Amino acid sequence: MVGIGFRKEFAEEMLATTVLHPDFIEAAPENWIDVGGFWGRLLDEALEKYPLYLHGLSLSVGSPDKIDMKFLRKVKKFIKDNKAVLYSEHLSFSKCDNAHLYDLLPIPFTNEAVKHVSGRIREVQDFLEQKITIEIVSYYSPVAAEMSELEFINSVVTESGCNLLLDVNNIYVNGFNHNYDPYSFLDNLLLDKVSYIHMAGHKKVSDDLIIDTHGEAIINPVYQLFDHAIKKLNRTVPVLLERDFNIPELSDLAMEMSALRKILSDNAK
Amino acid sequence: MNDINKIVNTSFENQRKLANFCKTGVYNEIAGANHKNIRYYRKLIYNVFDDSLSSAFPLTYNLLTKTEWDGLINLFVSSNKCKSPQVWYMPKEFYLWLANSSLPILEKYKILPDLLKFEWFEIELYMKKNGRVLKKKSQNYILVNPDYLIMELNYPVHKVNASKITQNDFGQYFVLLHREKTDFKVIFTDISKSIALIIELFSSNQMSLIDLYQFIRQELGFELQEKEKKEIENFINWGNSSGLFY
Repeated sequence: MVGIGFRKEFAEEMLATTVLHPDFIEAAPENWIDVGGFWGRLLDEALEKYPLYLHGLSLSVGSPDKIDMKFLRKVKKFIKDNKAVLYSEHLSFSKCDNAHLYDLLPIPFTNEAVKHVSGRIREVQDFLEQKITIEIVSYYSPVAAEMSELEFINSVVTESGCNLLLDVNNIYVNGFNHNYDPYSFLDNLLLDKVSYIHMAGHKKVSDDLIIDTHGEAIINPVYQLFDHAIKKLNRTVPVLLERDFNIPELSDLAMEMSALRKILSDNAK
Repeated sequence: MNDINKIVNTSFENQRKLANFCKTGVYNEIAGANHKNIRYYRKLIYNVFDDSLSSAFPLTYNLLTKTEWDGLINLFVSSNKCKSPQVWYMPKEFYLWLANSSLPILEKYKILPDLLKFEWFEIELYMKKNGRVLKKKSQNYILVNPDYLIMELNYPVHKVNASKITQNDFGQYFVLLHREKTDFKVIFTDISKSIALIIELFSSNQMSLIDLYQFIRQELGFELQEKEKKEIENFINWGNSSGLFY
């Protein structure tokens, strides 16, 4: 299964044409909760055709602040009202001292952060009465790390009991930015916990830094890492093509989706 | 405080340092951090605010100089704590933050609070969840489309180019915004204070035109002239055809 991030920039065209034929759509609840009118109708139309996967942006499970229960209640209702198949969030923080920053900041890789974040993920899962899927985020600098990124991720997944969102591009980006082998990193994740995969493009901004922009096409080394991941997983996992900026023609997105489907079908033989 | 909390607080402190740097640009050493790369977070966050606000407030963006705009965005990012997890609400926080401030820029541009309100209200109404359409208790009753707002302004930002408005334009203006039911366009209509009150009356009570006249006579204590009744009837006819009433 290959889905597409449901973006307002191309939502209308996607629904009015047959260029894209995703198996599901993904949306950020933050962008659609309490939205009606034109956009509300468009989402309703999309949900008549496609199953919905939700990918949150602002829950900020890594935040020093308490979980925003008022917002989480809205998310729970949104999941139920729209029969969302899955709800994922990021292993990062985007809020600090009651101020939203609207970007994903890295959590310190520390034992105490593992305990804190795992407890909060459990709190969210208990409230939602379902497992959530946590994404490995790209990051541009470690913050007071006491352990490796891999140990941190595996520990959080183990202690919280959550599922893992394998963002293959993020692993590639992090491997480049922090000088490690993305294949070895991927092999040592708790792959049995992977319930969802993201694929996207990125931008190299200097000789030693890549930014995870979601604004470019997927590059070949990321497709190769994806192929490796599918071989290692050896089972069906839904895959999402993310494209948030610099949106191309839908036919270009269709080609990327076809490339992902081909890798999936080649590995299914 | 036990040992775990002490160490958690150390992690929290480092997170606060990072968040504070992203907001203010003031960097306090974070163990193991790559300062060169951390600057990208500040840039990325600034861009989120700048893009959201310039898209939400194109008239304000065009009115201010680049230096004034950048200064406001920087000050907003560094000093305001955005409460909403939904980034599309952030422009509302910007509008309220600036309108309730005593920043010198409000002296230079006295119309700014009205201009921001005007631009935000359009977004709010365009985006808002569909209001509940009530069932008429009688066919004679006039019901108001639940997707409407009435905006009170001191400057005519809804009908005059912002750069052309002067202190001489200061006054009391009422603007009705309502969202069409089929294509969801937001319609702006200049209205009088009396019409604003009538819309609010129809919105909060199921009543007919006759009931309205009776209410005005009994509760407000005056009799409408024929000319005034004609104006109200014309407005109701317009409201019926434009989707304000149903």
